[in-house]
Amino acid sequence: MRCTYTLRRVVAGLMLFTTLVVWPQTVPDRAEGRRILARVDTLVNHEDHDFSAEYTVVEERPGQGTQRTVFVLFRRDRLDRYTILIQEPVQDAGKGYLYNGATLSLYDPVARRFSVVTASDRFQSGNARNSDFSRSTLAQDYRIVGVSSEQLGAYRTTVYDLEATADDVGFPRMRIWIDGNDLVRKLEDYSTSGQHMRTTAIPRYTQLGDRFVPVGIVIQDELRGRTIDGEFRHERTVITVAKPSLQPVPDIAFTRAFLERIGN
Amino acid sequence: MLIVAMALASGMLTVMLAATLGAQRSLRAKTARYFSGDLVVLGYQGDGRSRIDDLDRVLAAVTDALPASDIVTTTLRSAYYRATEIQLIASGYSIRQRRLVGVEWDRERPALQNFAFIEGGVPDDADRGAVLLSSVAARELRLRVDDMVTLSITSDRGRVSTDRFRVAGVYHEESFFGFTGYVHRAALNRLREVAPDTVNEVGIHLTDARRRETRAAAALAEALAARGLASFGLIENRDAYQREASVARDRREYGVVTLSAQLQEITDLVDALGAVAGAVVLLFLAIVSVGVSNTWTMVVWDRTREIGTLRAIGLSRRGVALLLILESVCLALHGAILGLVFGGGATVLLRSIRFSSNAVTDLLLLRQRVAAVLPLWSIAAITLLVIGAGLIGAARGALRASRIPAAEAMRARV
Repeated sequence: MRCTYTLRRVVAGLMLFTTLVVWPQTVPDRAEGRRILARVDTLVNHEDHDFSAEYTVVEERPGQGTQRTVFVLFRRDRLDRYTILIQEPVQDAGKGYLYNGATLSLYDPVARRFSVVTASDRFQSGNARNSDFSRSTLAQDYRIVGVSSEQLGAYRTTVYDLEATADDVGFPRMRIWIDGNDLVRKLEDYSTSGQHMRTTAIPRYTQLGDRFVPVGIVIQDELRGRTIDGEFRHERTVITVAKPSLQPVPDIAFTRAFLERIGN
Repeated sequence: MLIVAMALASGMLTVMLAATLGAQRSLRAKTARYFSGDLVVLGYQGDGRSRIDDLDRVLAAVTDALPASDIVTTTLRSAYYRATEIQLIASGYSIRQRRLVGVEWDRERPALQNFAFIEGGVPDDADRGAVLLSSVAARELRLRVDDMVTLSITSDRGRVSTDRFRVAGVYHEESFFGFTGYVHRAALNRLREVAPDTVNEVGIHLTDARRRETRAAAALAEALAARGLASFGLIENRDAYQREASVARDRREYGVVTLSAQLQEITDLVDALGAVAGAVVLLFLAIVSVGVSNTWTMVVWDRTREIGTLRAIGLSRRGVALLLILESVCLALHGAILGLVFGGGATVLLRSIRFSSNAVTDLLLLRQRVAAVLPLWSIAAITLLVIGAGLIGAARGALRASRIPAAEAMRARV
């Protein structure tokens, strides 16, 4: 009798929890969905200014140590261009990425050669993808196929299930957690077969004018890691962004000549 | 002493020839498996990727050009080459693969079953969830047969695509051929997000490929054109391969590439190694020949009175020369046979030695062993070479003996 009562309480508790924590909502129509995602994009893109910052990417591979990469990013979102110039580690210093709105090229100062890479390629063989450093294009690349609400730590968030509408987006399915300020707080990336590939948390943003810059990002690879002391520890990438700036960047920073000159 | 030198030369030739032929055979078997067959039909339109759109007509051309008795099997493959994009992941470990090949298990069974399987083997044809992995990949990922592995690629649509596969077989391979995974064609096409029946290459494994390859390729190229397919003909070498792949065309054109053309650089290297080894042996044979020459000069000097007597009882000058030459042929023949026996024994010993695995040795070895072979023609060639060396060596002495006047020879005090 007592057991049945306890079970009832547990079930009632679970139902209450589900109602409060995961609240399914109506999927917005295509136009509304696009507006929602465009708002999210707008907050972290810098269409009116150039953007530059120093990024530190720390790859944590359980049982294998860490690898630190430092680079400078120059972005000109209104022309959909960006340049990445690697400064550390020493053996990769001078390497650079250049996106001209259509093609992403990687410059190798040792071979003195550019090679074409894709936005969905892994950045420096880590868990971050090249596309993680470009402007946000959620509205352009995805449509909303599911909506719910969820309490994510201190944030009351709306969770959107997204499906790619374009090719070459990297992940064909995503789930994003948007807080009350329309900032992405968490992302989950899925493969075509629905395999959960990675989870990204963005706990910290800094405000620049009326826009925001994610300055603390943690990416967890859902497949790679090591079992240590009986516990599976995922590979993680911690990205910190320093010295964000909206000061104008010289035009030459978005040219091959710039990477060649710096690299040599 | 002379017979020992000849046996040594014959033995060295035997081992070197057997090892070189074995290395070539091993390399050819591996590359034929890797490149779809001894002949491969490719279809290009300018994007660098081969695809066969007119499969029925291509297969009809194969039937037109080649008698069924010349074909071991015809392969229809889907191929994925983007080396940085192929990842195998299991229990948190991951490894990159250079190439992913989609096959029909039954069609490719004759070629795939020659893998040096450490565990498992070629799965049933209906098995769409199986993968064949190399020992390199299995070791890195701590995988055994029947374990599950996740395969992740960037699909042809540029999206991350994954699927889970059961390890059906682990084959021994440490060279670059080992960075290839084999799955069912339908499974790879699903991963690539292309039509399930997509075929990128049609390969043909030939019987007696080395001899038939060039003629068969020419016949196949003609048959493709005769079947009304736009054709760029034969691809002669790797440069032409790259060129044909990137030439922009207004429609898909088909052509044939032979394994020898695909392997040009590697076979050039193997041939060069073989040539160096051959030159060393030929040098040794020349030294033996000089030795024979000196010995026969001594023999003639020693046997001057005997030669005089033979001439006196009616043997002609030509007969004297022939006698000495026959003696040298007999000596060389015995040396060659002795050498073949010892060389054969050394070859058997060589075959039994298990060499350490690395990318270079694995390219030329089969199951970490020298796949040495001694076909009949090679035995005949070695015998003839040694006899030839003996003949050349004996010629000067025999000629000299035939020129000695009989009376002078009989007066000689030796």
